[in-house]
Amino acid sequence: MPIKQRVFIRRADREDLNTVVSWMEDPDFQQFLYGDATRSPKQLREQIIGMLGRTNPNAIPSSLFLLIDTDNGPAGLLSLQNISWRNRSCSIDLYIGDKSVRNSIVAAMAFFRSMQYAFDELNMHRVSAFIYAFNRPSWRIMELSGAVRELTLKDHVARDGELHDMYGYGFLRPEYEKLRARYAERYPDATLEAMARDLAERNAREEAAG
Amino acid sequence: MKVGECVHIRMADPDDAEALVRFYDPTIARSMLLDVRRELQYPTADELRETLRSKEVRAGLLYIIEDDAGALRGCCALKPPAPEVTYSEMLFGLAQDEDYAGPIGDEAMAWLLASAFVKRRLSKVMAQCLETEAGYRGLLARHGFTSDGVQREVVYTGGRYLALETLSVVRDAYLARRPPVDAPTASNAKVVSPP
Repeated sequence: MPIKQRVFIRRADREDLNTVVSWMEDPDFQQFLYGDATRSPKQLREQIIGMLGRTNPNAIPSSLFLLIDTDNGPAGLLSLQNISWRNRSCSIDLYIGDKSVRNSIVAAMAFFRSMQYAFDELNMHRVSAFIYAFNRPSWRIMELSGAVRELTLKDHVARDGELHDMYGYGFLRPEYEKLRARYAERYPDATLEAMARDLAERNAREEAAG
Repeated sequence: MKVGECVHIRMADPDDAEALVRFYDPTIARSMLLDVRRELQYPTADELRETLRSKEVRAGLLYIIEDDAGALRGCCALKPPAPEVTYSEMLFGLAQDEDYAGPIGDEAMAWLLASAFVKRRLSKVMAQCLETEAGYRGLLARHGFTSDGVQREVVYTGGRYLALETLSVVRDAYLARRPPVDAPTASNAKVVSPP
């Protein structure tokens, strides 16, 4: 199956709530969540409701939450936060909730498509990411994409009674443009445009099938 | 409260708004004016007054740095640490750039670090510094801060992007280099205990 048919991103909505909550209640998933690992299920649920809740369509958003979808259903959550329209910058968080697809291809495709959205649609100049040092698969995606590790915050986060480092990455527009050129050459169907076309075709097939 | 030879520190109150608003000078990019999105904030005196009425500020989040004559020379703060960690981010700004190299900067910084490591027993204090704040960076370095890295092209102001450096000092390093009480500091001032 071609990669293009496996990973989509779309706006998250209320119907996704139970799926996202089920991921976030998984201790294995919580390990990678930013913030206090001792938050209660109720606090997590309230946080997610706040994230997926309705926003004024006329307001300039300071954050966007996107679902990573596959042919088999939602696989993860992707957020663009602290969006600054003055600095043309934002920070990205990417969580793969579905363990069965927690591999580099799904995460890498979701990351690439979110970068296309951030740079080519939202006209960002810089995307930042903060990643725990023990989350090697995530920071490897950043480095393979051309992002630069700009910060190393020593002993910054506590997990399982131990302190871990945190890395700060910066991905600037010229670095993204190099990545886009590389992807366009190797995976012409991996563009956001191709993704939207595939989604429309999939929806049409599902409607036709009743 | 006098904290050295020439610096007085006190909690900010709403009456400081008129004096503080001059500190928010749009021609000078200061890291302490950055919000969570890394945008420079330039509030009006009314907005500052409202902020200074808030419970958090009244509880001692923001401190005013004054000289012997009672003139406002700057302000500083330690952000409350998150529950799971024992580090804090500091905010520190002086109205006059030359004060970063003199006793005003040294005495106020010594007091803030003592407050963080001796009184609050924090494990780490972090600070952020724009590439244009050479004086502030020098003050941080004199007080033991080392660089954690530089975020490129983060803040857009004056028609160009500025880099933002993150620096930190950990408790062990602070205690190892802290002069004994009553010994002279770099600025020939006395170190006094935090409140």
